[in-house]
Amino acid sequence: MEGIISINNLTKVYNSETVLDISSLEIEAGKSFGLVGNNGAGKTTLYRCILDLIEPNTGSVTLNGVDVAKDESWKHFTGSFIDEGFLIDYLTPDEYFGFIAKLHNWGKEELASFLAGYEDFFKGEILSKKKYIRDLSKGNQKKVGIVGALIGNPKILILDEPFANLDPSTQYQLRDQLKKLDEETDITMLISSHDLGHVTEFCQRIVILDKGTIVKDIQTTSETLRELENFFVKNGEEKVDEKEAL
Amino acid sequence: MYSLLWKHQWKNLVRSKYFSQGWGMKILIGFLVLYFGLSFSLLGFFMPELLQESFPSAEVLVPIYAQFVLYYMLSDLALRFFLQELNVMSIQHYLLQAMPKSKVINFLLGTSVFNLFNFFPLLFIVPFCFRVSVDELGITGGLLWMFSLLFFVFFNHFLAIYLKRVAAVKQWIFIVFAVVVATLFALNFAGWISLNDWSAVLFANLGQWWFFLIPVALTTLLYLSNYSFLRKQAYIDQWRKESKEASTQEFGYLESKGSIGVMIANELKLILRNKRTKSVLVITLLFSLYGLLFYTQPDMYDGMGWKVFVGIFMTGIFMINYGQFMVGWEGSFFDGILTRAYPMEAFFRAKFWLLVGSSLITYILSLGYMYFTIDALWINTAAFIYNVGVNSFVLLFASTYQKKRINLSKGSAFNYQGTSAVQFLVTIPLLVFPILIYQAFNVFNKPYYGLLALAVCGLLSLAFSKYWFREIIKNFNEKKYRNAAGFREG
Repeated sequence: MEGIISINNLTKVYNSETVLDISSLEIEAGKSFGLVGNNGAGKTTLYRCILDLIEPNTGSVTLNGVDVAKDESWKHFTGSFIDEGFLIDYLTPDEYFGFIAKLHNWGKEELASFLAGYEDFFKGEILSKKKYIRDLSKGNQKKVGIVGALIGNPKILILDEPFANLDPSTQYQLRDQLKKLDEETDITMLISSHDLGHVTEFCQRIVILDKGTIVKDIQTTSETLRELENFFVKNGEEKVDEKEAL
Repeated sequence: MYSLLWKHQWKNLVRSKYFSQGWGMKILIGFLVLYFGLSFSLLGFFMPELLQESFPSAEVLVPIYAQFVLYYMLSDLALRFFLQELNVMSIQHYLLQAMPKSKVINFLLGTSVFNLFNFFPLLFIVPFCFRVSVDELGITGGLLWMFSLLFFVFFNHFLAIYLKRVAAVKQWIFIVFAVVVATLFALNFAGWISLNDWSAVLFANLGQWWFFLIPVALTTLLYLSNYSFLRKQAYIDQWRKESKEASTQEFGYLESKGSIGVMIANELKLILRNKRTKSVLVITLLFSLYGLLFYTQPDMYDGMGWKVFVGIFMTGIFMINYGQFMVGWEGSFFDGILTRAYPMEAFFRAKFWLLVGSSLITYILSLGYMYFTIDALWINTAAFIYNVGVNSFVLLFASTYQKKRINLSKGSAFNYQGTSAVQFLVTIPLLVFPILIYQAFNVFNKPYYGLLALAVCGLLSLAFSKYWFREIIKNFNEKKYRNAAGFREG
């Protein structure tokens, strides 16, 4: 079955080292999809391939039937935030949201009512503060990026480590917000995280990436968190063994 | 312990981006350094002869030399205020290490004297000392003369860095100082005052023991002020910038004009809210006066050739200065540019209209030269059309090769960041081609046909704008992965 995100034969090689090698991955529409893996497992590389930010050596990515490398129209239904490299840092958050809204032909009222839904999330530190994005803290920049990615009701939402750098209560708020989105809309979410607890909480499917390949592909059940923990504990031990063997 | 710090500084230098520049840039800078170094060394060495020639009746040269020290002191200080960079070793790295703060600060101040501004005067002091001062004042006197002057150099150095640190934000202090110096020089030039006389009196006693103590005392005093200032600043909360309130200027009209309008408005905000781009604006305004040089001296620059050059330059200065880093300005969020919901064509069309708008403004300013001759109208109109029609597309095309990020918060005087040989190569056709087109007619004594040809080239190229945009975007898409990787590196 063709998923809304469809990855075929995707490989990326840097200096003759294969950092990404995925023969096939189909993500169904309307599901939320979690991506976990240790540092250097290839998560960000995969994300950048999906968003047409790096050129894979082989293979292709299609979003909703659009080959991202050949056609730009995927940008209209894909919201994404990977790092601060996506934020126009000399704008104020209000201006930034206004800009994105404009690109999606949202009116002022539509944007205002959308942002009103995030008042708690922003804790009054973001909107109408007369501060440029570059002067905000890392956590607040992240909030701006995530909420900006949601403007325009995207069909696909792609977030890299959305929970990192956020304080505990914001993490829970974000988790609940994403959960709500998942339940109320048919958005497809692709979320990576180091926090196994958060992803198992609302992702229906979780994939573990290790050294660029998919090593586990699990439908979330009550057992999932333990399964994930076991994997990463073992993975860590193996690394130690490898070192000792050397 | 100092040797460790030395090693770090050295590594910091050789591993900095500055050294990893392309070879084209390295060779160019090396060549400039060599050229100026050599010319000024010769000038310094032959100064006694030059002074003798200007003052044929003088029997001793030291008092004549003294007449000029004040000029150096004032202009050097003014230059330092604007151009000298503070050497910033990050004190923060060392605060938690087992190392006394005093050492770190002494090191920071001590190494700061290794600066071009301090090296440069040596060329004028040391040779003169051994060729003249030692003869005229005796060995001790000559050496005292030299060391006094060296300490005056250090005095300027520490005064400049002290004021720069203390008044980090208050640029107006420096501007006031520069204006005062400029006024003094102007009054001197007009003959109302004589800086030569003042200087001769002030520095008459160079070479005396007691006079030597003055610069030494002043330098020590300033060193200690610098030290105590930095000592107080050695807490990390002192460095937190007061974040200024964001400006709320809006471009309502533009922003109501769909996504291209908003993108132009965004870019205007980029220009107005960042230091480096603001200095591009200042340069643009300054260069609109460039034409005065040519229009006020009709004898020297007769004919229109020079004025065509100036016309292209003036109506395109912003375009050339800003446009050559077009995508680089936005390098820090290039990934965002690639993923946002607009077609790349809109992105480039917005930039095109920005260039057109800027060129229109500089064009209107340049019409002021009609005061000198009505030809200014024809010249600048042709230049404007050529800039908009041809140069704008050349710059847009060149911008698809940009892969170096530009730090927007640094001023642009002596700032070569993001510069590569490509920028220099681009500037040549921008200025040279139009001149060639014009000259092709001018040599047959048909200057107005030359202007017409320029305008026609511009209009023809505009007619093909659809094609240009397609090619630009094609090239952009081919290079974007490479460029994005470059921008991510910072």
